[in-house]
Amino acid sequence: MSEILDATCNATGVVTAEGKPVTVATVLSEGKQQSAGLLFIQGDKAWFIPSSATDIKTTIEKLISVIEKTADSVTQIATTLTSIGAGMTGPTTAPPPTLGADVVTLNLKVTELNAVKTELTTLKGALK
Amino acid sequence: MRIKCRHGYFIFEETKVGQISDFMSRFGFEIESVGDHYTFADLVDTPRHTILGGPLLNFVATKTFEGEPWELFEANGVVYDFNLGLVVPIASVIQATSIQLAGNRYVSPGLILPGSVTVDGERVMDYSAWYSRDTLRFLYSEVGFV
Repeated sequence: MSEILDATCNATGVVTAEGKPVTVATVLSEGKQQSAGLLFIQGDKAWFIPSSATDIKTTIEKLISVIEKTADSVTQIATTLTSIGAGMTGPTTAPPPTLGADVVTLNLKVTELNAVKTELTTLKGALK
Repeated sequence: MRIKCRHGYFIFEETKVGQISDFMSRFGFEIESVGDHYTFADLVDTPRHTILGGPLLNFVATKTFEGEPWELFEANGVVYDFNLGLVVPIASVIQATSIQLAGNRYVSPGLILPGSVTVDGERVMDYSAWYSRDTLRFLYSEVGFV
């Protein structure tokens, strides 16, 4: 048999149940961020299992963000190539007037993608 | 009526109807059923786990533990003092007890308080007993010490 209690774990890995710290509890997670979860006690052994729902939700949200930004980037590339192609109708070698702005936009998308990468790296280090 | 004291937790078992009510009225104890057995009323709410620093009935638990009531008592080093109506550390019981060998059983005057100390200096932890309302005697077997 075992007992299952509501519990929390703070960023330093201290598990608390029924208002008391449970120093014998083994934290079955990264335990690097405040989390809520369940404490299993069996005999003199105890394990804390956090709810990872918020971690998963945040990860999925950021993956969606990456896909959106990547799609925007590809669309911008297509727009840029279309503008270049539209100018290739005569002997001119001059770039289309929108090329500078298009390249700025593409670089902005790269910056945004790198920002999401940084956020995911931070999340990895703070998994509950 | 059978009486089991397991690490200071009590279990009463009727072998004939009315034995527990008779025992209660004779000795002034309150006994109630809990789960599949009878025990002292003070012990009915014994939890199935303790958290260090949290409650074990009236006692502050010294260990985080999960188990049967008697296992919690053993883990936390406590017994039920039916004279005080409290859960107390077994080492705090200072009562002396006399246990005499009688055939293949032991006898003692009255119900043995868990944690009490024999003349040999041994501290009683658990036992099985038989109480006869006809002879008003307690016969003991399987007396265990700390």
